[in-house]
Amino acid sequence: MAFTFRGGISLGVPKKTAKYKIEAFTPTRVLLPCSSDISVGQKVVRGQLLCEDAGGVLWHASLSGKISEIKEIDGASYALIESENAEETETSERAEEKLPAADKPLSAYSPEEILERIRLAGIFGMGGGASTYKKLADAMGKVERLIVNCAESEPYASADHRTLLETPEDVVNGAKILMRALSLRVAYIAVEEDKYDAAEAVDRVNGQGQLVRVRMLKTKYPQGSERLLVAAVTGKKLKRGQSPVDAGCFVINCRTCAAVFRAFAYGEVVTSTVVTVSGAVKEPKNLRVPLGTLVCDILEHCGADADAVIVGGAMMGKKLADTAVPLIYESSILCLEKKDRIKDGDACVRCGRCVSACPMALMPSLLYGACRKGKTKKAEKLKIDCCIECGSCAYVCPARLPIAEEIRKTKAMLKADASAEIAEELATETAESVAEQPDIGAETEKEGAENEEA
Amino acid sequence: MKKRNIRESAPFIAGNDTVSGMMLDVLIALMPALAWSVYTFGVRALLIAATAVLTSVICDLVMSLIVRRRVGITDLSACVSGLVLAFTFPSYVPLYVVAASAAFGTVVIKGAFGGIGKNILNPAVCGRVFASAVWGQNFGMTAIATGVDVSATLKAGELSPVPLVNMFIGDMDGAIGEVSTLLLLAGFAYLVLRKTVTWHITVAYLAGAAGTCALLCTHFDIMRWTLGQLFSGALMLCAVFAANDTVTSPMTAVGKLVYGAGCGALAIVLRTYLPYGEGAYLAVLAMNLLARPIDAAVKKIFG
Repeated sequence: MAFTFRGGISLGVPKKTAKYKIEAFTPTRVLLPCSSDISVGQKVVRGQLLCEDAGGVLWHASLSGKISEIKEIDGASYALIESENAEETETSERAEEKLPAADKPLSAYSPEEILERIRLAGIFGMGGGASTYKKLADAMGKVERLIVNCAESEPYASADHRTLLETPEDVVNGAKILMRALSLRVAYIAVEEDKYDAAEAVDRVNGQGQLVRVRMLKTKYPQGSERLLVAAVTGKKLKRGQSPVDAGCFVINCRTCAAVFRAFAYGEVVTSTVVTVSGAVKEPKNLRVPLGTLVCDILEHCGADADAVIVGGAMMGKKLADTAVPLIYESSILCLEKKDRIKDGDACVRCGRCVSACPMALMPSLLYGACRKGKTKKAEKLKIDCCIECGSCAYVCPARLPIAEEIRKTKAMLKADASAEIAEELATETAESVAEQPDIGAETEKEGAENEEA
Repeated sequence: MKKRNIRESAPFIAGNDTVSGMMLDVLIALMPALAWSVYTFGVRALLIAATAVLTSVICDLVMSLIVRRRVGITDLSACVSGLVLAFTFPSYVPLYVVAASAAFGTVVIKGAFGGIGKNILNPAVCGRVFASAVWGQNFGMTAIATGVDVSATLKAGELSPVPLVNMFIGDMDGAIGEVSTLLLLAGFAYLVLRKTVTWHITVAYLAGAAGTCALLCTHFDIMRWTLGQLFSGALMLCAVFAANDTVTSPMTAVGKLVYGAGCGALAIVLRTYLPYGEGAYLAVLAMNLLARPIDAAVKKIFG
């Protein structure tokens, strides 16, 4: 029996990017979040703490060098670190800051100690981006099984696949550490069938051990979505509004899991990420790059000649207007050419393909109609909030309607409306309290005037 | 298969299927039956088909210019409607009747609702019902050479005078594209293999029709009477093509089953109790009206 979920789409083609070994690429500059006490001209070494962001993630320098510029991006400051020359990079590589490596067996560590180490290593969800420490702390005592997400159903992405294939022991041991931290007895590594070689690699590491088990899933997009992964692995569909943790599952990305192990065993902080570069490039590659490497530097390294650059996957990613941005959360870069343009259509023929493709069992074509006409009430009735924006509907649409785009826009609008409502409530509250004050002022004035009269 | 696609927002790849590709598949699926009709009814059948298709395409073009939408001719939907409509006429029909009903279907039923995808009723079926409403059962012809009237015999509760095998192959009198059950089913097999349509509607249609036949049958040989009903008249054409029109049928799998079964059952009921012979067409039109409510109900019940 193949484990899977209802709906979804089969993309059919084996991923060409899966065969490339992960290569290391070290650029001469990186752009990373930093705190206000970092100043231009300061020297940093790899692994040095730069700041703690609002989400509780610690950021460390991923390259040794000098801070050459501080930039403001979306209200947060980012430091541009430039390595001065190759030799110096070489020497400073050695002067790398690390946490103390583990010095006693895993069973001697308490869950709190493990969590603190994860926090200090600056580990964040490489699939989603949230602080792994916070996610773990929230799930403590509420979950009964760990699922390592190695489904990687996005086309043109092989970072998880290659990581599991090349370093299965990191992932398996990371899973064991997390099991210890969350006091769990069951852990699954969820792998799609097209990554059989990676599953086999896990089996080899495991030997006779049964602590961490592999679960093979049918190759189908969007299996990598947390909710659908839980549904496929446990056979229980998540209800509307129910999170994986509510269903007793802690889902963690495969590379995040490997990072947990490396932080624990070697004291490594998170300074690099794996990215798949494909599409209109001379050499498609899987690269291990320092966190915050600029997308344009990676493109140059791979010999890309692109008219459009998509980061974060062909199905759910976004188009970059400017490629001089740091690569932090995304694990794939897809380059497109002008000839890859397909015109959007305008007439739905109600073929129902989007309905059978929707993994959340919604009616995408009706949602599209409602969203385009701005009928938000109707869209809410069609459960627009359940949409995971996977884009399967738009992929299968023979009329090439931008279904996902319209739904996404309306969702963003509804979200903005909701927060505006909250803001309005807050504003009226403060306005009320402010409104009281002039009254007091007026009274005192009046009193003053009376006094004067007197 | 997938294609890369530069857009402003995700997804940046698209499947290979297109509306015109789907319509082309339907046209291909109609070809065996068309070939058979030319073989049995002669060039006249081809003339009827050409008239219907041409009128539909021209009307569709004019309508899309009037309502200022993208010119719809490239999506081939007008060709499909035209050909399905042509299939419903007997070979003796005057060509002006064919042209008028094609125009009615395309202009009033499809175009006036906003063109492809917006119509609630099936244009081909509406065109056919329009023709018999205006010109009557024999389309204004005073003298026609009638062979054996299968439907009247069946209505009387008797077994079909034509052997079942001949009916299945299409060796009988009738509308040009409706006679051969075998070739229509071949078209259906092609559509399902190409994944242009799902099996749901047609299978539910035939099951619904067969079940209703079994209930209403007054003859002792239920099996043969039922098969006679299924192989005669417009039933198979409606089951495979008219009811399967994506625009006017539900989108959910359960909805398709309900809709298909409803079409089939209603066709037999109308055939048995209506004084005239358009049971299968009227059943499709009635269920067309219910397609959207069925989907809404399915979503309400199954979440």
